[in-house]
Amino acid sequence: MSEAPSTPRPLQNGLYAWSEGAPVPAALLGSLCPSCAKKAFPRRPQCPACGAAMQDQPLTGAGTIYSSTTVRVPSPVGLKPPYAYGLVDLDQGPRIHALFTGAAVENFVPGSRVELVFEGVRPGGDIVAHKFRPRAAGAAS
Amino acid sequence: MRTVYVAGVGSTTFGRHPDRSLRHLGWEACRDAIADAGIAPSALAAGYCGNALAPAIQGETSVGQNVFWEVGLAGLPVINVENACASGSTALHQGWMAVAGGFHDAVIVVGVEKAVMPKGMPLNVGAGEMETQLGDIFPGFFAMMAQRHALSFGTTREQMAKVAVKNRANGMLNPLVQFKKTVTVEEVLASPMIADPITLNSCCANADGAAAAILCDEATARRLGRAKVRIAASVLRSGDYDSERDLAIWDSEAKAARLAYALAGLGPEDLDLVELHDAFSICEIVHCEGLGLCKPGEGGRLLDEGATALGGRIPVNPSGGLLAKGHPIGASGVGQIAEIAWQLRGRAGPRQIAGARVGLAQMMGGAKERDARAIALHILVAD
Repeated sequence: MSEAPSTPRPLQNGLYAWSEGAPVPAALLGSLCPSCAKKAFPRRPQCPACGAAMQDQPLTGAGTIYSSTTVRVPSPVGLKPPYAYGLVDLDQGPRIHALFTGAAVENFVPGSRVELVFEGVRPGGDIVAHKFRPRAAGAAS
Repeated sequence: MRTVYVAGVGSTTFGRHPDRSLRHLGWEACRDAIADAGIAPSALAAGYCGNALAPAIQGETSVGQNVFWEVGLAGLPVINVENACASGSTALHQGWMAVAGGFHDAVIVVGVEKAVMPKGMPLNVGAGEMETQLGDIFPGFFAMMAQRHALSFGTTREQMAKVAVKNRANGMLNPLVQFKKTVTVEEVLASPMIADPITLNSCCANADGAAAAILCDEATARRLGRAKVRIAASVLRSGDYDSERDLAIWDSEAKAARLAYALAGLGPEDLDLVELHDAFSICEIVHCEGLGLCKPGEGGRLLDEGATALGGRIPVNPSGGLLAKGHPIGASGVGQIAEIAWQLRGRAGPRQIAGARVGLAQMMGGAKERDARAIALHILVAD
């Protein structure tokens, strides 16, 4: 165990845009189709809609919950119940699968406004993942 | 393309078989299917085996060779098929293609699984997927589908619970099922919450089991005296992977259904029974709509009206479905074919649907981009 256990690692390589030395990622690393403007996350090499080569596109900001659920049983990957997750329509697109954080699970219902954050995803916190938390009151839209 | 018949079927009981190996379960189903068809094993030109989890759980690969070896079948092409919950249905589709295409006159198809987990061992399928690493579990995906269905169409938790109530009641008439116990709407709703709004009794249980079918061309079927249950359509497709799709409507399933009906020259109004993938209670409601048994959004009403009960307009899961039978993943799709074959031959005992002539089997496998990885449909017709 020569590496410091607190060094954060992404959930998977290639998921996030991350500045050297920063404690957490700056954005999701998605894809944008230069031909038809379709967006995707995680990134993919080829546009599923028109076949063009896609370009890397950082994705961040606020979004609206499309669907959600709360899991009440222990997760196979070690998350403690209850935990909530769902699908969020990012304002700049596309639809993102993510855990919810920062409020009681009952708050995450379709139509709720949320914003992207990055934080520890397992006990120990050394693995960092994208999540959505309630949009701060007073924030634009 | 040649006409293909289901000449014989066999199935073990579904449930807990801690003392039996995969190959022993598979052997029993194959032995029974061969006997049911009255075919000489030497006439079987190829073997297809559906299995999803043996490499992960039992550490066994190429399970088909193990099973067919146990049956005494050697020196033939053996094809192992993994397609998640649709593994058995996909094996069936492959066997159908081989006979329909004229490559073989008779083949054996088996689905086999031991999915009851050793105590304390979580089922960690798809552990490499981002969603799984973010705590996604299968009931959670269907929970979101239930949520969107309720928002779009007003489908209630009571209507969803009625799926489990109906299928458990049907299962009381089937000696092969895991759960021989009825449940009430109240009991389903009061059972422990797994992923809102899906409760424990709204979920099928992992099971051990095997089912097998003998497929053959018309000449062989006539020689065997088994030209009775014809495969009128066999359709397999992946999802459309539209990640922004409306979760309340399963469009890729509707497309598969339209193709199956076109191939069979039949429509949903011609069906006498349906066996479908009721992994969770909401699934049956959504699939009834996808298969065109009712209009989109009216799947809940089918339960209220008793239309899909035994004795109703179009009985769904007369076998008890996965909610009563349990779900031996790779075997379930072939198990559906066994049930439909028995129904079309008038051999379904106390759950027999009088005069059943046309049955449809539907399975989906896996999840990707909010869609199924595999959609498999078979329409069987009594000649």
